[in-house]
Amino acid sequence: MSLRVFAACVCVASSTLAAPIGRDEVLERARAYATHPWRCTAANLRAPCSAAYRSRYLPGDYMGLPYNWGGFQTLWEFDQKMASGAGAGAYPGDGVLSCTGGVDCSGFVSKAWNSGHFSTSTLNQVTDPLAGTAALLPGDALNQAGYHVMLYTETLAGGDPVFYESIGYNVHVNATGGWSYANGFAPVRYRSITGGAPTARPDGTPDHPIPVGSLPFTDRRDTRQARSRLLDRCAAAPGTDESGAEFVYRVVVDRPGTLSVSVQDDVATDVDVHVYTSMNTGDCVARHDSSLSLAVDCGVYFVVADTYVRSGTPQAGPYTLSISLAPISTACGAGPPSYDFAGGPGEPCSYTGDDALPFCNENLGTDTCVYTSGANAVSFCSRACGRDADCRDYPGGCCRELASGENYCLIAGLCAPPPRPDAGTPMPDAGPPRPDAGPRDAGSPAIDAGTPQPDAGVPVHDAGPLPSHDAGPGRVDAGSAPDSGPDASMPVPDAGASTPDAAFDAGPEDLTPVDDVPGAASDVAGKPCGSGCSTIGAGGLALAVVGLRRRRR
Amino acid sequence: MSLDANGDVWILDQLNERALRLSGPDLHPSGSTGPLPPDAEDLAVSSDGRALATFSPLRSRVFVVEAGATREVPVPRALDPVVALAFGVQRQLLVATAYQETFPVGSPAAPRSEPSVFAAKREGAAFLADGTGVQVLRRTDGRPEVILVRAGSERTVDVGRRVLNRTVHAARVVGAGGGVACLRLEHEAGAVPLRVRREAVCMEAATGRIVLDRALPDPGSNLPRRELAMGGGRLAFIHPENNGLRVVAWSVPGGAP
Repeated sequence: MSLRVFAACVCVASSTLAAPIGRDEVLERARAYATHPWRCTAANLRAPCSAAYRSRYLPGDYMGLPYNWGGFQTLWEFDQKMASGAGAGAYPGDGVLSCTGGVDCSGFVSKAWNSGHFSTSTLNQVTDPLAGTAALLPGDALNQAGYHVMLYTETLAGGDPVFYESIGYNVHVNATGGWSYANGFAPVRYRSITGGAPTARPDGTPDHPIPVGSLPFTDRRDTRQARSRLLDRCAAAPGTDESGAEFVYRVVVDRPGTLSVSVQDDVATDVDVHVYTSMNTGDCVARHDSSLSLAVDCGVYFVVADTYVRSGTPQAGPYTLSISLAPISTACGAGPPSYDFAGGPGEPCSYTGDDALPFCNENLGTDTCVYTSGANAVSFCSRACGRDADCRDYPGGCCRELASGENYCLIAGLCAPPPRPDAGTPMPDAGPPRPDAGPRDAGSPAIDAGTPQPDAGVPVHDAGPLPSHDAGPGRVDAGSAPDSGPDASMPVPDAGASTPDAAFDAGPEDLTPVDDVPGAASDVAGKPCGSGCSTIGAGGLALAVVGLRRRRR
Repeated sequence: MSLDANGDVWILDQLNERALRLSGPDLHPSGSTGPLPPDAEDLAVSSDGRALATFSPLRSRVFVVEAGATREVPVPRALDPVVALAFGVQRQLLVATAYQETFPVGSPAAPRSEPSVFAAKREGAAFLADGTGVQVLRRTDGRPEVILVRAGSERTVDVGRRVLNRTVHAARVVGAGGGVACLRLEHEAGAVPLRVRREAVCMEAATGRIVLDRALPDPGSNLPRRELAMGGGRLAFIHPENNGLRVVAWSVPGGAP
């Protein structure tokens, strides 16, 4: 670290505390500065405002903002400076220049905290001293007034600290110096930083996998902060105990090739890598302690960094994951095996008269089968709604009232404009949304309108736990078992005295009648229209609703 | 700093873009080589002392200088952060990370592909003569525990653990040779501002016997990237002082290759 000698921080002053900031965000900002890619061109070797200036950089591609004496720039400002021919980085001998790009040590820490610009000598205006290094939390700093400041991120298994700092050539991670490197520094905490130790990130679960934007991809996390402990075994190695916490990543492969996944982990940490084609553990197609490669077709894959459990003890800790793809010159094939869920929005569904069709699937956002009768009978899975916007996943669909106070999503073919008032159709219209009539509102009046309820424990309305790429991985886990839904014992407060099982068997003719619609009754195969059976003026079709099922969430 | 198989000490002089060699028991200057890349950090010397390797974190490359020619080997950027560089057999370059894992990145004539680098990972910050990897862990009671690991069928297998009976703030493996592993131990001598006291300790891996124990001067304002290194049966220490760079080398019993 010989460069340290000329990398002390320039003195600046600022007077205001910025808004509160979480530790996670501080670390994300620090990483962004350390990993920011940029290109140094010949134009960046000189600085337009200083004839004497010479950049220490050579033309080429670099990662991490340059050290820039007095620099306090956003990533955007830096990129603009480089594009406009500003000099790449600067040191005290160059003076504080307005025509160079990068950040100095305190500029970097100030940016990581998203604060005003403070120097090592003025940081005490916005920080509080800590009692010692034992009190350090990620996002705190070690400062030596008039000399240098660096951001603390973690302590490794051997006790060595890891810092982010702007010194020498650029902003970078420093794990080489140990505590000796911080000798003479004071641990401090930014007053606007909030929270204790960083909380688990909300992503990285099967339901919300971390999106991998482009390949190659690298990510650094700590499985001790992972929220998901759902994936315990992998079909590719069922004897390996992977019941520790995991992070899940979603990779979209757009060209066939070889997908390579590897993990580095700290001492006493054992994070294994897995590749899934869906979040079904049976679709875990590859795993390894540290590194794997497999041929992949175009499609969606899930990479899981999972904590290995040794003799009952999870080996959780920090890791770095790497994913890359070596494409081959072959056209996309059929892709990895996928699932074809039934019972999704607008899909055909079972009703009395065609029991062979699948049931609607709450895990796919439907709980009600709406069907028409007549020569061109159709059925489709629906749900209660309050307004058209609640039915966005029904292409061209709409929210219409099928019976008094009962609004459901309809497919496009049934969404004719509401009839004119003089048509005599008693449809109020989709109308303004009722406060209690949200799309998944289990307690909406539409459901409470006396419609018999199926047994909450009857599994027939759940299509089961079939996973689907389309449905998102979380739905696998959220799904109910085919023979006993997770809500099987869930009370249905409004079920009242209805006989759920009987309700399920009930055809529309058993439903409570609503006001007859002139000219409509004959469209329902000669049966009177009842509750949940209403003519809506769309080609004279009659619609019926079955299988209403409420679920308190 | 790095040591070759003869125990000669090589020091990267970044400012002058060169490497200096200090030889013999008295560590007399015996030569220099260069020029080295201006952004060189860390230094490795081949066992025959003819090739030098430096690491450029900015460009994520190892530059190998030999017989006046400079060749390069790419290092995956995902190896984060690289803390040490070393030569293996046949000019194979080894990169150690802060996680105390070591990755062969290939040689100038045969660089490895990125998946191959990751697939060839070896657990250990340094390696004994028999190939056993050495790692160190700071236990919750503050005592350092040296972990000896060997490659298993897939997962690394612990083949030994040695706990030092002293409390530390941090411990780091700085080298290994023969049957001995050497550590830098840091102790917190003052909290605010932080004051660090250090020592170098070498341990016989098979028995846990301490074969070398030296107090080190307090760290100054300038800290060399690698202030302790091991090679040729010696442990060397460099320390900037007002009148120059102080270089010390100790013979490590049982530490010869």
